[in-house]
Amino acid sequence: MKTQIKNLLVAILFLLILKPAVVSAYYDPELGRFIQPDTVIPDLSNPQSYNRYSYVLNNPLRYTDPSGHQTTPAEAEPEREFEGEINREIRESQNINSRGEHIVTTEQRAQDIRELANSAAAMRMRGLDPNKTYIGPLETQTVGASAKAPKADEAASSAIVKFDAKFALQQGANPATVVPGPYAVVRGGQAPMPAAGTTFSGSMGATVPEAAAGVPHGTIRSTTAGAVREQGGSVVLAPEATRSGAINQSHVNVTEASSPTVFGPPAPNPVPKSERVQ
Amino acid sequence: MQYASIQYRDFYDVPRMFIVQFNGMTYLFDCPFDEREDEYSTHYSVFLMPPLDTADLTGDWRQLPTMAVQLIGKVLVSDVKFDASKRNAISTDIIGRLLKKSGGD
Repeated sequence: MKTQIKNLLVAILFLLILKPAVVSAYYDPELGRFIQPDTVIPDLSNPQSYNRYSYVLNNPLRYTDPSGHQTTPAEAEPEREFEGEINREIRESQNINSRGEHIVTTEQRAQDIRELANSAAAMRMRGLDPNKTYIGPLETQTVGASAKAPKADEAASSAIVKFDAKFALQQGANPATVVPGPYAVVRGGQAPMPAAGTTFSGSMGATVPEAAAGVPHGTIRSTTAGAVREQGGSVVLAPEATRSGAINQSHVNVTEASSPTVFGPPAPNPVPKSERVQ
Repeated sequence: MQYASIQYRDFYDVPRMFIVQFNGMTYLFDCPFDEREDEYSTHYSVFLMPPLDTADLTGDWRQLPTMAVQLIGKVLVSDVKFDASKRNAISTDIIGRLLKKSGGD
């Protein structure tokens, strides 16, 4: 009996001490994806590092990640393992040369840049500096609107952000397109709000003025992304080109699930006309 | 219903400015923001355009209406039928009706 109790205590101690070091992000086998972003950006010079939902830079043939935080080269495979026509075809389909090195095609590079832009945009939305490395869950490092809010609000906002990420993944969406719950969302103009179920344009930002700069209207109605989602609706980041060719990074597609609207009454746009999107 | 692909700028609920090719001709649909009404116009002005090259379409589009060959007419924004994404194509019916009305068909 004493031995059983001793073994049980050892097992509990093992789990308490070692589990946090081993589990860096949870993996949802149904989704086939990590449902939490990697808490560390290991290599700022590598665009693939900014995709914190990927495993070993999406190149498991070349790398391993025993710690969950740092991609490390796998042990060199004998050259003979890459021999043969079938293996050559596999290599080419995966853009790997005979030395096991990853070949970056123009198309892949363009994809990397798109992913980097998305991830950087996502970090900026959370008030984080894309050029810095953050230790710890990004959701808990959200600054800007929520940083000034009481702690209870922060917890609620964090819960919404986590829900958003999970929901986005379940829907097969890019998590970078999900607007954090505490962020302001505005609709330009004085016209009645579009009917529930209709997807319409809006603008998002960490603050109402930041969001209001993304519409040309002198009148706005505002709410938060969290309020739209609590109602069952959605707010999805969808940057669009303006007439000048510049990209309006704050454009969002909004769908309200029911009426009455969660957008407030019309109010003057606090942003001068010259500073709004053209 | 036939659809023709579009290239667009200035998306707000729908594309507010887009280029579409129909029967070998290029048309520009323009729904500018009306400062006085503080809202986008309820109509698209439809222009027949000269052939446009890549530089015209990758640069600033604000000058495109000044390059038009002629103004064909105006159509209600709600009369233009877009594909489900509202970003890829429009029904060509509206162009046909507009050309018939203007006697250009």
